[in-house]
Amino acid sequence: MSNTEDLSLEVDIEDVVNAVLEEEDKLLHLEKPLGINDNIEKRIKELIN
Amino acid sequence: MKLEVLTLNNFRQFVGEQTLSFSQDKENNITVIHGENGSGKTALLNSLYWIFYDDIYLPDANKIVNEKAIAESQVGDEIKVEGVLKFSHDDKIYTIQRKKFFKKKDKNDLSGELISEDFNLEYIDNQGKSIERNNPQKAIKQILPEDISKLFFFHGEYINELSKENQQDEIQKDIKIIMGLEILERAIRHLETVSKRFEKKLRDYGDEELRNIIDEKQKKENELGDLKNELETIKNNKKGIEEEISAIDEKLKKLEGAKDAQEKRERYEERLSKIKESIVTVEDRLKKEFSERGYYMHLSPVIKGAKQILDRKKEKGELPTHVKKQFVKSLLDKKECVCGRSLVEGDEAYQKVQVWMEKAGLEGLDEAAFELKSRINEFQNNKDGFFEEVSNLLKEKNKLLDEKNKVKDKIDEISVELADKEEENIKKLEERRKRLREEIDRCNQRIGVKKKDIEDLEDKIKELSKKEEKLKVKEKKALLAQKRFKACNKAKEYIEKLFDKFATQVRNEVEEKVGDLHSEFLHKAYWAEITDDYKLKIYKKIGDQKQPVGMSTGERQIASLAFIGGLAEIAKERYEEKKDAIYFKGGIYPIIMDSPFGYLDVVHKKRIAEGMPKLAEQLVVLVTSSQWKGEVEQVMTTKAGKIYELNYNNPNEDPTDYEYTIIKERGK
Repeated sequence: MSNTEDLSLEVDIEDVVNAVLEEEDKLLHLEKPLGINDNIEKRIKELIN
Repeated sequence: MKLEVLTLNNFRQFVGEQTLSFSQDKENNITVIHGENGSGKTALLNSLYWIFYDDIYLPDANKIVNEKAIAESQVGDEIKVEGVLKFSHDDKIYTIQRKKFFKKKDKNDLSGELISEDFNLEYIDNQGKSIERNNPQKAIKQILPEDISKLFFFHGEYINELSKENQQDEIQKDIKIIMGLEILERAIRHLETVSKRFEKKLRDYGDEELRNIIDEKQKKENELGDLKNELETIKNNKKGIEEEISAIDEKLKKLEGAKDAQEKRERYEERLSKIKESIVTVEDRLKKEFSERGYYMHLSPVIKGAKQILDRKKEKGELPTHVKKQFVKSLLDKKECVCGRSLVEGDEAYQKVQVWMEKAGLEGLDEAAFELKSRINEFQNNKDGFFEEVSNLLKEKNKLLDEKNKVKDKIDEISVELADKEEENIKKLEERRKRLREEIDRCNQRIGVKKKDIEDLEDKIKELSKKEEKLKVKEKKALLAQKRFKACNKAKEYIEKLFDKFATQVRNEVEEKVGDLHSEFLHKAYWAEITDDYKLKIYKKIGDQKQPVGMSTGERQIASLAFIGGLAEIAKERYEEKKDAIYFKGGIYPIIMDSPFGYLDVVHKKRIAEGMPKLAEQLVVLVTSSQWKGEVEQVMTTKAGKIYELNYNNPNEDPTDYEYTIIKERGK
């Protein structure tokens, strides 16, 4: 196996996108959406573990 | 969102409790409020900002309590200032209420001291029960984001600004907010941050090779950040210089000795900017020609060669072929010639017929040769058309470049003329202006260089990022971090593509709607377009060419009204189609306009008044009595569902009297 071989993500990227947009939607219209980065990180960790 | 009833209590000049019901009629969807200058139209518009966001965009913004109410109170009394708005949204009826209590400190106190305040939002649920929202300010920002309120609740001056050259950022922002593209933009930004977090983990658990790549990328990203900051600084610097030039121009226009020359220069500069735009249009058409038909240039030698081969074959009589290979083969198979003679393999007659096998053509060859010939002719015609079009465009471009140089020379001549003036102040202003212009040229050069450097650096960073994603890692934790990092980047790329797709779609839709409304409002054969960089442009047709139009203040106002109306219409359509979408939801918004007829002539006032009901589902129009009388009143009285008058009490010089306004409903 070459050391630049592509890694399989084992997750549908649309699931990640939808999770991120769901989090954004919750805090939309707030000038400083506090905790948004933590929420997105958490959702991605849940999807890829 | 649909406004139902507004109640104000001692807010600014509205003394005591006063109520205004907005028209709920679908046909007669306009509520007109008219009054003299200073009667409180803008204060009424601001009462909505105050109720929703606790903001006021008026002089003396802290002075909320009504003067008459506080003047007639006793020292130590509490005066309540209140705004209550009932509105419907998403099939629910909401009531929003903002209250502030002020205490009169002394006999002469006309502002009061704020002692307490209250804000709440409640709605009626399906069972008719009243429910109070826990976090009212957050809920309001969800229902009507402040940015959107500024777009749809506006003063005439704001819309006049909207179609100015330098307003594309504002337009782009408005389109994004209203169409929900903002959520995608935010997601891209936040994914970048989260991606960095996973990258840090990847660095912590990865091997040396990976660490080196990440460090190198980090270095390049820092450089990129610096470059972008530098670019921003140059752009700001340029903007500052441009403003200073505008200020000098204004000063020159006020000086008798320079007025005429300056006005002439402005006309030339306007001409110059139109020429520059036309050059860009021609260049775009050239690019399009080359991308669509440019391959003719490369194919030409090949096609020429093919044509020569076909011609040679024709000259030699090889084409068209008169005897087909299949026919000769059938004679040999049947062993009988066309003349009836037997063909025996090996004898002379057989050999003579067999020779024809080499000379004869394949079935379909003639057809193919014929097809090829006609294609070559077609190619030739298209190629000629391509070269002709390119040559015409180049001629047009050269003509424009010549014209550009001539206009530039004229502008330079004016500059010399002003610099040679005897009046010291004119001389000094012009010299300063000349230095500033040179500075702008330097800024433009530097902007070009920085942009190129940024592009190169971004490519390098992209390369390193790919390496980082693909490098084989052994450590389990590093592998997991790498997968998450990659997922972040992929999601970001996906959303970026989604954003581009929607942004183009939205721009096209806005353009169409704005164009429709604009042509309805404007008594001229002009049309509106939203350019790729979100500039609102108005064009006219001269012959086959479209030409940008310089707009008068009134025309700018019409273009902006059409733009806002177009956005409101698309937002509504989107909302009705895609209620459950996460992004790109749209919404229904009322339009509230303060002084929308300010700069319009009689014809356009009438046209706008007639077309107004189409701008949004619900409209509130605040007009001065002078704007209202005549054509506007004539047209709008039939379109309005409710008409109110602001009766202003002017205290003049009477120290015992105070200014206040009473809202009075008027019959149609």
